[in-house]
Amino acid sequence: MRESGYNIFGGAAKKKVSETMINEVLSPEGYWKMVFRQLRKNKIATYSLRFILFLAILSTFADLLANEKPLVCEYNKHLYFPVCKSYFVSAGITEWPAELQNVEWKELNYQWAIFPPVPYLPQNIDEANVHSVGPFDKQPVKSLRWRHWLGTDELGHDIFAAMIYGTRIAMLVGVFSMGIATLIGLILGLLAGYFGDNRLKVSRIRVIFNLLFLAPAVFYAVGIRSYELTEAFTHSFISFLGQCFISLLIFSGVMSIGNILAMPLRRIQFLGKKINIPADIIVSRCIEIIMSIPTLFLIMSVIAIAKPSLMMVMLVIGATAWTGIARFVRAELLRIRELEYIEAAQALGYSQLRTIFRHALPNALSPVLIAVAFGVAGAILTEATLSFLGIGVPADTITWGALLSEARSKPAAWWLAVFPGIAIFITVTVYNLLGEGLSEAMDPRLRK
Amino acid sequence: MLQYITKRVLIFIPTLLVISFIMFMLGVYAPGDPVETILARQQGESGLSVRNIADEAAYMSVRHKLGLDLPLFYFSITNSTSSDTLYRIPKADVRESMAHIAFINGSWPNVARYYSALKQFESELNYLRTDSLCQEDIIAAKKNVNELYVNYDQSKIASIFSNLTSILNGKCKVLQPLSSKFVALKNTELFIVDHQSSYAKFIPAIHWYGFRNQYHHWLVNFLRGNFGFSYQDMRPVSSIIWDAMKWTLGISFASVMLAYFIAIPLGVKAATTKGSKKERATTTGLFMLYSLPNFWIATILIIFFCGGDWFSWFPAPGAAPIPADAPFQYHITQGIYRLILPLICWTYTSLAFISRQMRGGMLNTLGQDYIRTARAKGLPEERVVWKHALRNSLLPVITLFANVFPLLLSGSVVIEEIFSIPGMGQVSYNALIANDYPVVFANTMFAALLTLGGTLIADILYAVADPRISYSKTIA
Amino acid sequence: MRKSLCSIIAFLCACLVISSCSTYKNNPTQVVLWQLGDPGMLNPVLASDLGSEDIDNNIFQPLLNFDYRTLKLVPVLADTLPTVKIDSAGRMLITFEIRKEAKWDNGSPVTAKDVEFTLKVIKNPAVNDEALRSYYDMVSDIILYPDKPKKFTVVYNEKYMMAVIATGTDTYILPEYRYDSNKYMESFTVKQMYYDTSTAHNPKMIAFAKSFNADKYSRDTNYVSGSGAYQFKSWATGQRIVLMKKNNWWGDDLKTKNCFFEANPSKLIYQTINDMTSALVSLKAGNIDVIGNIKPSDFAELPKSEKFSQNFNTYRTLKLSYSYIGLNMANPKFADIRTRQAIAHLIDVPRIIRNVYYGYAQQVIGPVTPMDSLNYNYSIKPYSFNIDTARALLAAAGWKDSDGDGILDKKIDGKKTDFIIDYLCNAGNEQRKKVGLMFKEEARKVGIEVNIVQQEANVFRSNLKTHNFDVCMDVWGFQPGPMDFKQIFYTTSALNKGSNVISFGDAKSDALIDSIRVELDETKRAKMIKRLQEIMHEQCGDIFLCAQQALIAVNKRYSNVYPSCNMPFFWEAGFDANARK
Repeated sequence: MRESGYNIFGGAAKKKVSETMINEVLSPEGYWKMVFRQLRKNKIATYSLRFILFLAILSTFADLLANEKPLVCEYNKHLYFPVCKSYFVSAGITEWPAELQNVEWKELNYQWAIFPPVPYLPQNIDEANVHSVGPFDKQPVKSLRWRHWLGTDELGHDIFAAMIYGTRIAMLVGVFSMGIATLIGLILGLLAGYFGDNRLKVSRIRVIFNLLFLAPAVFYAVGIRSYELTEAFTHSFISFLGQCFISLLIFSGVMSIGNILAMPLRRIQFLGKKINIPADIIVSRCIEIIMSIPTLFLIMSVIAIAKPSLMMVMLVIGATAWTGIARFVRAELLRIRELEYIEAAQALGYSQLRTIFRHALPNALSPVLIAVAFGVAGAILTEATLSFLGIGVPADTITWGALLSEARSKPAAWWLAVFPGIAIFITVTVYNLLGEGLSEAMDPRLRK
Repeated sequence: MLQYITKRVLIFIPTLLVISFIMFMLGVYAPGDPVETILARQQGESGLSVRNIADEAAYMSVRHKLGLDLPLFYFSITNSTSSDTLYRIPKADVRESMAHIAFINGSWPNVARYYSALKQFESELNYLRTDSLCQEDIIAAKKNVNELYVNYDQSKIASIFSNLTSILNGKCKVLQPLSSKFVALKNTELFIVDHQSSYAKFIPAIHWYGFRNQYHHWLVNFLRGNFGFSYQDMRPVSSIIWDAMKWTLGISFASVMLAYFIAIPLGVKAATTKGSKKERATTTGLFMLYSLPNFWIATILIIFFCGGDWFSWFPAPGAAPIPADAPFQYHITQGIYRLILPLICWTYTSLAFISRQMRGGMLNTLGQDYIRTARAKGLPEERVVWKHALRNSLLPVITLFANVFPLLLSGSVVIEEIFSIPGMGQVSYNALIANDYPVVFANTMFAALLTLGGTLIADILYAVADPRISYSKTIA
Repeated sequence: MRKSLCSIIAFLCACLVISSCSTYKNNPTQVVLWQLGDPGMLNPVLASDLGSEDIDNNIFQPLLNFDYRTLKLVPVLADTLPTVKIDSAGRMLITFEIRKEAKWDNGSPVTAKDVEFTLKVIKNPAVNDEALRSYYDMVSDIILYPDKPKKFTVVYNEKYMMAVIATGTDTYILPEYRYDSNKYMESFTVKQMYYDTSTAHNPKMIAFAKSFNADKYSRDTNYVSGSGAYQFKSWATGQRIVLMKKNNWWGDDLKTKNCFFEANPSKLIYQTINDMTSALVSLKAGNIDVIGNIKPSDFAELPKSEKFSQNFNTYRTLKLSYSYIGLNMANPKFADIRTRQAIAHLIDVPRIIRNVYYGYAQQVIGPVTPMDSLNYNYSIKPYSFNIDTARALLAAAGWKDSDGDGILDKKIDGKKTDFIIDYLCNAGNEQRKKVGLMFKEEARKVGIEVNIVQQEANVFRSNLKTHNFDVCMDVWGFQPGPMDFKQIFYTTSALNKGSNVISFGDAKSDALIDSIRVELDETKRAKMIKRLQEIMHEQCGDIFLCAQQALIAVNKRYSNVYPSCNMPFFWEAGFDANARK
């Protein structure tokens, strides 16, 4: 606030008194706690929240629910927990004993064994049930225990297992990509909407130095590290993140040198003079640029360099989906910042950050929440469309969208369409209901 | 306000330049070589290939015809190990690996010498008459040389060199005249390693290429209205886009109108009857529509309603064209009739989102004091909602409006493919797949222009809908 | 709001009623053929995609072609099959004579001058036909006979087994009067273009290329024209291409000669429908008469539809192609021949044919079609599916699970390498993906982890050419007639992005391929080709899977329909709607 020259009324004593006053009136127990209490009152939203938790549990424990390995078994007089053991093996802690290395789990002679509820992995091929066998069709299986309750697809994959593992993908795609999008969207939208074109003031010298240092920062962070970055990119996602982090460190290092150098120079009157940074113009242009570049183009370029992977798809969806959220936040804040209570908060001399996050932002969130909820659903659907076009997600990753696109060519196999269709519908609806519930809980005027 | 609009339109110019630059660079660094795509065109989508791919001469000739042998941009900022002549190496993978050697060892001129020595050695090798006795050695030598072109790792190069040495010193006499060239090649490589300067990569260098560069050519032609020729069929890009646009514009304009026409009243109704059974049913229905991917719905509609095994209410894709001599109203009704199904698929997904935003905005407004005042005055509810509340609750819907414009142009790949409509979605997607950059660039630039226009209109509409938002007022 | 809804519904109903009252019926003597996408261009020199070749066959004519019924080489524009002579300098002289009846649209006869012109166009370096031109590099001259305007001799500088087929079937003769009205090319000769490279920079040459490359010669009805039975009538981009039967076509009297002179339908319409599922609905609805490439799963379902079986006949024929799983022999993981054979034992080809191709395919053991009884090596037994054999072979090759993580490993160049491989296939091809899924599941059982990587077609192809893959699945198609194996199996074809993607071959196989190329005697050649198949089977770089069947549906209205293994699997101009009433 001090920088924008608004503190005409800002006296220290006055500020203290009024802040406690407002706090007492508005939120005796903290803002978010109150929102949550309000949410609990909304029955539909509560159920939605519970259902999302259920989906989260389902996707976390998918390995225990659908697996070709038994949960517990006794084999050759040894007691094994194969499913749990596979976690440890893949973490490199233990090894498979020789007798269980690369075996056909279903054909071993166990003394006894308890299989998961769905005794198939989605990639298991049941040779007896190929060419799409329906849930009610006659299935040549050993016993009811091995029945495909939701049918099979063309190659004989179990649809139930596919649905369970598909939940995991859907949750990941929705939450991860919208997480990225929301973060970027909120920050940039806030900058543009709250500060507009006239309120962000920075001293001349800092502008000059930041611009001056930008070129070398990019050069040292990305330019000369391009080989490391591309190598990591083709290698694995984790190493790519690591390399990105190093680049980021170098970048911020160079930039902060510039800012530190600017500090003493600010004392000189000419250099220290504040000038306007048109935050709104800059952010809006960024939004327009991102909106103009076709997402499909981005995804196809990225996928072709790196191997197709879910992570890349989520990153690209996240990195392009933020524009909508940013524009909603910006639009709301353009309105809100003119409202009396913000002016009051400013007048009371609250810090910039406090005004934004405690007062301005919560009131801008309600359309944003709807957008986020739709965005989560949109991300799931985008993934489905990519599966239809055959780009993006690796072929052996089973997703709801992939099932639906297989259903397309075989309308008679209704089970390929109905189950993923219902799953997508419920997930989408539940996210939206929760989003609306939250936005109502946040907005005092909407409460009953 | 006028001042504001002028300012915004002026800002369009740098924004468009930035977009064009980004797209151009993406096109350059995107995988897939347009030259090879053109040469490999005969390989159909099933991978059937009848004819061979042409040799290097053909590659160079196509590359030159497309102007891809020019530098990329006016200047390049690289580290000082790289060079301003690097772009002359035709094949991308060789170019990459040579640049990488230079990066590791710090001096481009040495690497350039190495490259030309390698070329000379290769041409000598190719010049050798094939001799049945030495065939095996010659093949091995050729393989190794080929490896040298794409390897930058020091130890790998050394091992290839030792392979070559053993081949040249082998029993085969035919290869011995090559020894002098080989020694020269080895020396250039040794020179690179000996004169290593590891700090060179930390020094930035700027190379200036002037106006003879790919970007400039493209930009100047674009501004002149010459969008170039498609790599796929050599048609002018403008005629490709115009053909496709006729389809997409019609359908998407109708679809946008339809979506707003249905969704806004639905949203308002949902807000005013919040919590009722009817509202819940509509909401559920809308969500159900939203959550069904349109590629699936489109297929189902076609299978059931287009004269397959079930109903033939609508014409199937690929119906015979409307005869030119048919009466005018027949043209109109047939046109609309054929587009009903695509229109439905195009529209239904956006209904839920728009109406939900409308409902949110409406609920927000209905909680405001002035609405309470209006109600307290005894105004009829209808009037309160449609007259007083609607305008103020349109804000979130207006934000969506900016997205509408680019949609008008971009079309939808999926729906166009399933209904076999030759619109913009298909054109862009096919161009992307085929590395047909003239088409991709032109499409993107038009879409960008519309996006910019859309956001501007949305911003103006904000001010119209909510007079408190003002762009001209400066806060002192 | 309710009012507006009602009005919309009313409007829709009105549309329905109006349009269902008056539908314009299709002309019964026309044939509507389905195509997945538009062809690139209707210029037989510039375009070489398979789609446009099918259409070009009806507008233009080559000298010779493979008869669709017999797969034998028959004369089309030529009067008889050519005579081949080898002169003292080792050059090949191929002499043709053009049919005396042959005429262009303006009534002037097709002469040797037109053939010369076509060769000059192909060899003009400024024309955008780089892919085609490399086949004519060996053509050094064309000899015309002043007294016989229809006779000419094409001169190949070297002996080459494919020479007759290249000049005969790949060269569609263009009318000089139409394609070079400015007479730019008249002053050059083929000989001059072969020996004197400076002609390439001649301004006349460049001026011609500029006009020839322009899109009017590729899609304008006023410019595209040839000696074929059909005239290019219209092209609605992304929708349909219409060809019209010429009145009084010169070939009408030769109807009995061979299938290329049968031209019954009054119109050929090539209808673009970009989606297979939609195309099948369209077929049932009667918008399309012929579909030439139905997916196996759909083909198995189709007879269940009453509407379909009432109106359509189905045909099946083996395609001239083979699918294979390629193991990158340059990859150290596959350096050991036993490893490659182990992989071959993991692939259950009969099951793939049953489950993925629904039985519409035939297992093959090498790059020769099993219909070619002369050249196909029936004595080779394919690798049987056997996990235990695979395990034993892998163990013998040094693969074992030393760290107990369920994945085999081996020390390669002193580094422990896990047996994790990428299976590369092109995006959008469901069948290849499914073969990959089956392979993945079997490989997992012996401790090999397979990742299925689908890549967009261009990227896929460039990765194959640069040998940047472990395992790939692809299909290779070929023409009838003798095969040139140099392109795909010669060692030099593995270099410089050639088509030998698996880096197959050594000096021995190269020598064999070379001698196949120059051997003109069929039986001697067959012996060598059989030997080549044996080597390939042993080496096991390509695991040959199967030759697919072309699955065709044609409206029952037409008679004279016979399937052929040559693309596009039938001769559409022969379809006769009048014979059956």
